Amino acid sequence: MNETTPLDPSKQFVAAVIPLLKEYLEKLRSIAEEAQRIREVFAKERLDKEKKRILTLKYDLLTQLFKRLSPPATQLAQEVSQRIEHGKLDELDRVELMLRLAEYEHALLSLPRVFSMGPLAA
Amino acid sequence: MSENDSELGWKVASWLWERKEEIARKLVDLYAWFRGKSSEGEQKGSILILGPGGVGKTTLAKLLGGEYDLLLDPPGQYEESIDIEHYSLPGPPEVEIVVPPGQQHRREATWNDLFADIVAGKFRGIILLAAYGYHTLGRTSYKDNPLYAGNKDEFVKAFLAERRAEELAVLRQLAPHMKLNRNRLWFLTLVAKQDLWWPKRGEVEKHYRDGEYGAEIRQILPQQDQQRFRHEFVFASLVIRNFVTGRGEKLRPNAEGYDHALQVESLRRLIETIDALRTWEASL
Repeated sequence: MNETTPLDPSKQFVAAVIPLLKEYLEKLRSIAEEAQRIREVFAKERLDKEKKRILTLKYDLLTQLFKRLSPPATQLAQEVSQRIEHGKLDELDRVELMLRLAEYEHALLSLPRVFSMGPLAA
Repeated sequence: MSENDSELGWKVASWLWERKEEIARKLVDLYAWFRGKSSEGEQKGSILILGPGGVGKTTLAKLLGGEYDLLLDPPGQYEESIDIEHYSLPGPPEVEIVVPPGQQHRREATWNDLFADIVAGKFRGIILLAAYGYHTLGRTSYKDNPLYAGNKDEFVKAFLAERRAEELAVLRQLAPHMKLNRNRLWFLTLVAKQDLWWPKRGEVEKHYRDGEYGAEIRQILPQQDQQRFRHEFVFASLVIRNFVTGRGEKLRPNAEGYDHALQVESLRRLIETIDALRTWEASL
């Protein structure tokens, strides 16, 4: 007989959402870092035509990936925010969610700024 | 959206369509002001819309900016804003509407700079949006709220009271910054979602005008030079819809007897009040 006490729904939510926030925080950060790295290479180095073509393609793919991720990533932020604002949570869980959401939203909101810098210079 | 909401949406659309010219005429004057048909001497500067999460700040900004069309856009699902929104209207003169997110955990990061801007006189006007506690819950169930103890009606009562306290907390947070502002500033308390609290309208008006909220406003007023500060109340309905959570759970139906004529009348009052504030801005 399994004597493990089932987690209450708020604990289940926290247990499920924290790994998601961590995973997508890293993903959003890596997209931003890669996009910035490509821009820097374009700005600083003399590149041959083929290298430019490859980097432009990579940059475009990153842009597309962000566009695909943005709606569900925003939805995740909204779900967590509503739990913080209106959900049953232990105080420590609430603080942890606030910290993780702050980092996550910062990364999410920074990306449009990176991509709004426009296409890569020819 | 539930079947009832969908039916309600169609009724609203049909009613609005029949009166589209009348409504359009009333809105045109307001848009003209925001879009810059201003006379000499009118104050430039941004407009700040503040309020707790789920009161309808984005809807108001879109309505004022002409981005939300009463005729074409049915009331949509509540989408929580996670960052400061700017609605920049073409000028000249350019008028910007600034809408920070209302959730408590985002306020310190997004509101403090705006408070400094209020003190520095960067805003011509502030709209504090309230809703007699009818703050839409986003992507969450009311059953996950700590106020829920097994009975939906009891929950709604407790939730509305808690949210009204939050509206007052926002006013108290804002008040010291308005007192420190030395420029001409208007302040509008817009109590929205009239379609939900219409049967209790006497009680609602009393709550804002004579209750703790009104007392707080009266504390701001005597310290302000009446030439530099003006406050108004408007009670209105920006959209007609049931009180539902983002999960589609209906908490309260919109009030029986509140029809679309009353809604448009409330919007007319909103427009006229803003127009009076515009006139006050220009009168030196």
